[in-house]
Amino acid sequence: MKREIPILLVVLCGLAITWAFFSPAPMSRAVNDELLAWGTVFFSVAFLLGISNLVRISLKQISSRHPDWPYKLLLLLVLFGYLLIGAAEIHGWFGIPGGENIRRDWIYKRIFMPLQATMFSLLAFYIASAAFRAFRARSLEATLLLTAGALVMIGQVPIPSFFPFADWIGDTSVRLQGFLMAYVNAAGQKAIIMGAALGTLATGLRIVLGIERSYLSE
Amino acid sequence: MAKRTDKALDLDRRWIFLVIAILVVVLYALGIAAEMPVNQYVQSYYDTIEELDEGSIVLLSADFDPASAAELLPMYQATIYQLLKRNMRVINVATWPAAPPYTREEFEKAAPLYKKKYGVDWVELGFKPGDDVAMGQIGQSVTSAYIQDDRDGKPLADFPIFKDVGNSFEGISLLITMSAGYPGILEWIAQAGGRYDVPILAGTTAVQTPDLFAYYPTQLKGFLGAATGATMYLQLVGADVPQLEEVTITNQKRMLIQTWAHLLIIGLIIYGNVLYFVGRRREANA
Amino acid sequence: MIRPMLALQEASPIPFFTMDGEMDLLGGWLICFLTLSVFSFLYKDNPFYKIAEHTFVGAGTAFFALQYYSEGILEPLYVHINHAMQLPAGELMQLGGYGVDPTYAIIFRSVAVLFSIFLLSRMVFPNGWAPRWPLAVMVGVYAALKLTGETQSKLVLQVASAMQPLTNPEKLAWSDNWVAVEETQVFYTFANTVMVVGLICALAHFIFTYKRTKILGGVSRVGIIVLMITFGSMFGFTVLGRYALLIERVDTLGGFNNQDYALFGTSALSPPILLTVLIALVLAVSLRGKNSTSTS
Repeated sequence: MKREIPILLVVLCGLAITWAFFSPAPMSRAVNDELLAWGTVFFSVAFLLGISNLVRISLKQISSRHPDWPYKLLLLLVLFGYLLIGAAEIHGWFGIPGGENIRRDWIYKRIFMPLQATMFSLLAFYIASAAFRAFRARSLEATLLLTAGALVMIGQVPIPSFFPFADWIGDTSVRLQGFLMAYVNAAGQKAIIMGAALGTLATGLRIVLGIERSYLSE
Repeated sequence: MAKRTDKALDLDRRWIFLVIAILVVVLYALGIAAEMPVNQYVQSYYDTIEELDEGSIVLLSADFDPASAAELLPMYQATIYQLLKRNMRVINVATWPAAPPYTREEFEKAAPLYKKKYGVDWVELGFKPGDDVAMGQIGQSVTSAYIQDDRDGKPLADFPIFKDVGNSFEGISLLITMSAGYPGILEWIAQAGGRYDVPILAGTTAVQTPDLFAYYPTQLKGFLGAATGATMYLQLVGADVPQLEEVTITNQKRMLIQTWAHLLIIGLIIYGNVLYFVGRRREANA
Repeated sequence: MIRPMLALQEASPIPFFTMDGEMDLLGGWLICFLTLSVFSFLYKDNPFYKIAEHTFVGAGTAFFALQYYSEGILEPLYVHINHAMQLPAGELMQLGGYGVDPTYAIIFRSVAVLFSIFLLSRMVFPNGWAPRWPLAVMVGVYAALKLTGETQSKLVLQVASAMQPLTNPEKLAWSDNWVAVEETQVFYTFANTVMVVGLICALAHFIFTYKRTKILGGVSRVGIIVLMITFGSMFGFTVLGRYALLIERVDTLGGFNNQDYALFGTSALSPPILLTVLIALVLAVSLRGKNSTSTS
């Protein structure tokens, strides 16, 4: 019961979706659509399940007076405060017309948006530090990697006109990196894509045919 | 000497951070803009939209969030203006949860300029969770994937635009995605391009751009790669759209700051290597 | 505290707080404070960064949860079933373009509701049998979708697009003009040869089940060179992307650096300038004497 039914479900769902790929029959499309809708629902439920973990860990740290506990409290306050406002907008609680999103958008634009954008922009600083400390042209391969990187960096940006030979540098770097990207990089990318697709095909087949069962491990 | 190079290599990284911060802030304050020659990928993107018949339906998928908006939002804005100016009808979807606040705002701004009516010329369907699964479902039938629109919460049958849309991308002439990663253009190519033979265009972040050269021009008709592609495209579309003038100049200014930042990185790589190799040679000689 | 001071600047056309879509003073200050708090991490981990970090996790999780709840649970379950129930008699429910009796549509989706409850039971019984059923459906659906879609577009069509003809009658036979070199037959043949040979070599490098003989070893070495150039170009583009984000942040902060947002309408007291100075002062005072080590 604990193993057989899940394996049966995997095989049945997998075969139904594969069937719909090859068959234009209306029935197969209906089954396909329904199963995909289930997929989106379970995907969303799984996300909500993840929140319970976050809350549990934060509560544990607050109760054990972890050095960061005031921040964990802030996290929970922001989390539940935003959830409450959002739920009120979705369901029309506290006299708010249902279906609105102006309050959610206000918080999104003034809190979430700047924070996420800035978090990711920090990497610009770390990539510079890494460039100075870690990137060494120790071998032919490493030298090629760095040279190609430098060429792309120059070829993707405008060269200020007061630079000596600005036009020539601009034109040459754009064309050289254009060639590298369109032919050499494309060859490497194609090899990676084909290799990954073969891997996906093999793993996918093993799962759909019920041979691969590692997802059931506890 | 070896000690001196070691010491230079052990430099507190915060000095590098400070140099970057000063460089970017000073260049921003100077605010010089530079025009860029348009490459073939951006030109193909632009031409593919231009060549569509008026009134064609385009599925526009916003697959990004604030972390990638710096690169993708200008492309997204310009794409909306080009589509509406050319009288295309747009079905707006998103596979990233953080995209809809952008899509709502941008369409509300652009649509009145071209006297476009909601539900007739454009419709906002919002976020669909599930990544590949969402794309698979949208591809098979938009009207099954979404039961109601995102703005008014009305059934899709109430909107005239869906009278011309069938299953399996029937009636949809083009798919455009603003893709920041997973799920994005690569998944759309797998779930829509291969299956339904719909032409695809993409605007992507720099990190994803190198992947796309493998798909152009057979599986991808054109793409806007990174801030560079965004600037080139804005120059094309913004030429006769006054509302895009400011964002075009902003992007051109940003590209020149980018130039110096790249030169700094290249300089740091060269300086780091020189210190490393000089130090190693000294050690070997000692 | 800020409110009365901002009230002094009657000339400011920007409201203190509004939800009509326009930026307000409160929002401007909040954006600058949070942005600069995150940047303060570059100096050292500190309370400002921690506040920003935990606010980010809280707000992000809540925003995502609301999106998944309304679009991934309410719409496909509640709205869908409700829609099926309210259909006029005799009208069919469309599933992927195929009309089915609304009763069947309701029954199908009710199973999804049941399975969702099974999945949620994981909170109480982490090792129970119930959460495995919806998980199995997800695994099967994803595996099959990836298997079919990716094999076609990333294997079959990629192989097809790699088979380029080595000549193209539309290209120029020869050009003395350096500008048009990409339009010549010679360039076309050369470039496509590079791509095909590069691809074959890179693929050869991925063959791990065959003994590396001299020939395979040599071909594989060329493959490594192709892959290194590929990774190099990816690195170049990564730098491009990261700096685009940083420049945008500086641009955003710069946008608030004007009289409209400043205290007493004085530009020197605009949010980015004032908050940078304040955060730097607080950090300098609070971290004074503490060991501030930094590693790469």
